[in-house]
Amino acid sequence: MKAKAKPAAKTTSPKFVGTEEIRFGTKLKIEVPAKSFEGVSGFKGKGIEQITKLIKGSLKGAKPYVKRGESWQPFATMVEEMAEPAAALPTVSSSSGSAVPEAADKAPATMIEAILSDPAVRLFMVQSALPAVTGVVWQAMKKHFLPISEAMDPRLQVALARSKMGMPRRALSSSSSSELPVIARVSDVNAWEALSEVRVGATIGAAADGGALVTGRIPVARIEAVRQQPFILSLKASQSVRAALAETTREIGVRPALLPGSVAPSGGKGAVVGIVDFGCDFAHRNFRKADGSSRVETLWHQAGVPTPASPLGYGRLFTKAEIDAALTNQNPYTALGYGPRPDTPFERGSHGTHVMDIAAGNGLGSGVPGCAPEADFIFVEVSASDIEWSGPKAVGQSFGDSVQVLEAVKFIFDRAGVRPCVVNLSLGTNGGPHDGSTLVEQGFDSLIRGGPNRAIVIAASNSQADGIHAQGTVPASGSHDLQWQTQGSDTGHEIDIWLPGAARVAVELIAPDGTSLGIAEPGTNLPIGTDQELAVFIANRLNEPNNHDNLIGIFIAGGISGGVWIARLHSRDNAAAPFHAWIERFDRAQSSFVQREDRFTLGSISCGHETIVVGSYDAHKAAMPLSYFSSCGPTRDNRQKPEVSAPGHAVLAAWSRTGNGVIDKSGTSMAAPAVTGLLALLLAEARRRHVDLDSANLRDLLIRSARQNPPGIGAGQWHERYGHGRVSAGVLQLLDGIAPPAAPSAPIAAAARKPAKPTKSVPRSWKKPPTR
Amino acid sequence: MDFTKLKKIESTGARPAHADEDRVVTAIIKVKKAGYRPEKVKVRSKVDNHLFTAEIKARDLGELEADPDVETVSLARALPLQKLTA
Repeated sequence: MKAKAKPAAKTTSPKFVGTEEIRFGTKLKIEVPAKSFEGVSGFKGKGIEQITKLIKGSLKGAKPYVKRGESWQPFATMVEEMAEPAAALPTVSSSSGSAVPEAADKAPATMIEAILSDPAVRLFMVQSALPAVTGVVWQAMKKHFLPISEAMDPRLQVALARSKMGMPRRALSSSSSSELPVIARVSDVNAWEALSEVRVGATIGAAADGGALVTGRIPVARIEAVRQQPFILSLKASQSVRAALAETTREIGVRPALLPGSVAPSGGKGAVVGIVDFGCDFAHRNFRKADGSSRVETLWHQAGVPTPASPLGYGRLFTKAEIDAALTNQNPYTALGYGPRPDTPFERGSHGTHVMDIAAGNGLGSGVPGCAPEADFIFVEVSASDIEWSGPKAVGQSFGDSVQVLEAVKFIFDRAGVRPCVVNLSLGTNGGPHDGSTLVEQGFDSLIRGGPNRAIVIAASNSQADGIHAQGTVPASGSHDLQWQTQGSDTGHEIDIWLPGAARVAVELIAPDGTSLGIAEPGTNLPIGTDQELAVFIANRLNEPNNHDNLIGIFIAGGISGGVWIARLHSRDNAAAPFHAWIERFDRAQSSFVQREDRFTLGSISCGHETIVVGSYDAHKAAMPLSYFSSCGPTRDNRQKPEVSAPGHAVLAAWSRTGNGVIDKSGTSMAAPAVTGLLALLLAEARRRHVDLDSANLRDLLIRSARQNPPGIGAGQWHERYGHGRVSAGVLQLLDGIAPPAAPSAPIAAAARKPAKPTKSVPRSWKKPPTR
Repeated sequence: MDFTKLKKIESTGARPAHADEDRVVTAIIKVKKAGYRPEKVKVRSKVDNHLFTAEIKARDLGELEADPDVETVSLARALPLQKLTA
């Protein structure tokens, strides 16, 4: 390996002081006293040379991490960074390869010493399992009920077991914490590459015992599903491979060179992109203008310390002037008093920064612009009020609440004023009526109807593979068993069963050992537990206030062993009753229905009437396959959502706290901002033509311009996961039928500050032949 | 205050939903009469003439329940990121 131009080993004393903390594995975070640590590892107080020897010697095979600045990084990654990129690219390992780059103990001693000499390196930890500590933790161990095929590669079994037990994986340099690099032997390479779960790596060649050797990355939770494909001959954990470049802007055609000739949206200039999310890296070059000033005109940190200027009396409001002033400092985050969360071994790159870049990054840092690179940003980092009745708060999980998210959207539209404005949301859970009747969804609808040229775009949800929905009919006589598989969890489980308001259905809950815990009759509830603790709660509620349907909720407290529970539904009025059931979202120990129906899996706030909901597909593959996680419509009241789909698989976009770096993430969260950016372009173009578009117009244009092959549907048809099709920049050309293209005029932002010029309003009945 | 006993409150699921009576909770409130604002409610953000966000003490939720001009109330519910997890 050849060292980069970075400082080589320093001659000063090491600043390495991280001998107080050691962690074993990802679950057992054990902080041992310094004395014990010395005994365990033998390098307390040692210098660089001794630590180097340890890494290359007794720690060989372990997974060391160092804390540099505010973030933990795999030691191997730092070694890679110091080496020439070509030399550092991981190669496919043998079937016994490790999930963590192996470069650490293979690096030259001088390189290891240089890293340890970095003054910013403060702590060191090792992912290992040393016998010296097992005696401490065995007492707390127990056997877990984990249905995992014993026929799998043991390393894959371990990864899956950790996933099922809610243990996060560390994010690696080239795969997210939810993915595992694999090497597979397959009988059909094309079928392998077409799987939406697979992020394709390389085809190595023919295997000696038949088939082809291929590499890739697959989500840990989907290991079993992939392994069961008939063309998979073997599947083993392997070493990571690099991500391909994002194809979002090319695939939907929003790159300037790909836009239809008659349109000139100027990168969405004059439009506002509102992002309600977590982690705005205002210092990333992709969100700064050529002169270095910020493109973020307002940032509301709802959890920040309030000032007299705080909206609605809470949080902290940062103006563009304040952000620009902070950007002149060496540490702009400290200067502003706000910054995206530093990376951890379990999560790399802030979600909100990534979303911003897809929608409207300008590429000045990364070299690859997003969809509307000239739009202005308003960012709201949401927070939640104290809502302990709303479910578990997993460590490290980011969440807002329905009230403050609605206030965030209202804030953005108010700030945008008469300018075109598109708000992006990537929030939600699994539960809820799924008919758009919740007040937060009614609130979104009302805000959209409150004026032209505004939209709210929402991620469909990522729960398609989780078995979170079931559907059936309670017979007029007899009963219907709803089987529900849970894992042992410290957070508990919860399901919603929705029934028509006229139905009268009782529910009996049967524990995994066959014990009936009792029956909750219509209009009653049933708490079950000891004198000290509630173990189970069943609420059989009639006449929900928003939609007048009935709701049966079942809650199982944390700490109760996993197994198959049965919710036995009995009709009490001798009439059959159709039902839908959803399992609430608990990411770290998601339970599932045994007889699942993988439809109606949209998120809890993704069923409104005016919002635009977006599914995800993989734009890196010729077949544009649906992302395995992308949730499915329709709504419970049978409306056609998601409306459209966009690339959301392995998207490379801005990596927070790197200045100009990118990182890949997948999810409908990555698909929604592509549509947000596209709509910002559409609204900017409409503004240029002095045309107002209301919600119905926007929806109509978006749907009619969607590409239908794939999914292979006819004009006017709808697909449960692709929606009306894959979004296209062709939507801008449809404006030709409303108002002829005009020569680029004065900047729209300037025009927006003047009294509004009369504009055309497009009638809802307006129709024009599609221009596919 | 046991929220599950209030019929105008949008369901918070089966998870036990209690709050001390003096606790200030946030909610989205829908009213039947345009512009109507119930007593003891501190309005935070007006969405439209019938819908607004507000703060209210848990003990006063009972008055909203009895108010004929209040149509429905939705207490704040957690909305986590749609982040892909293992």
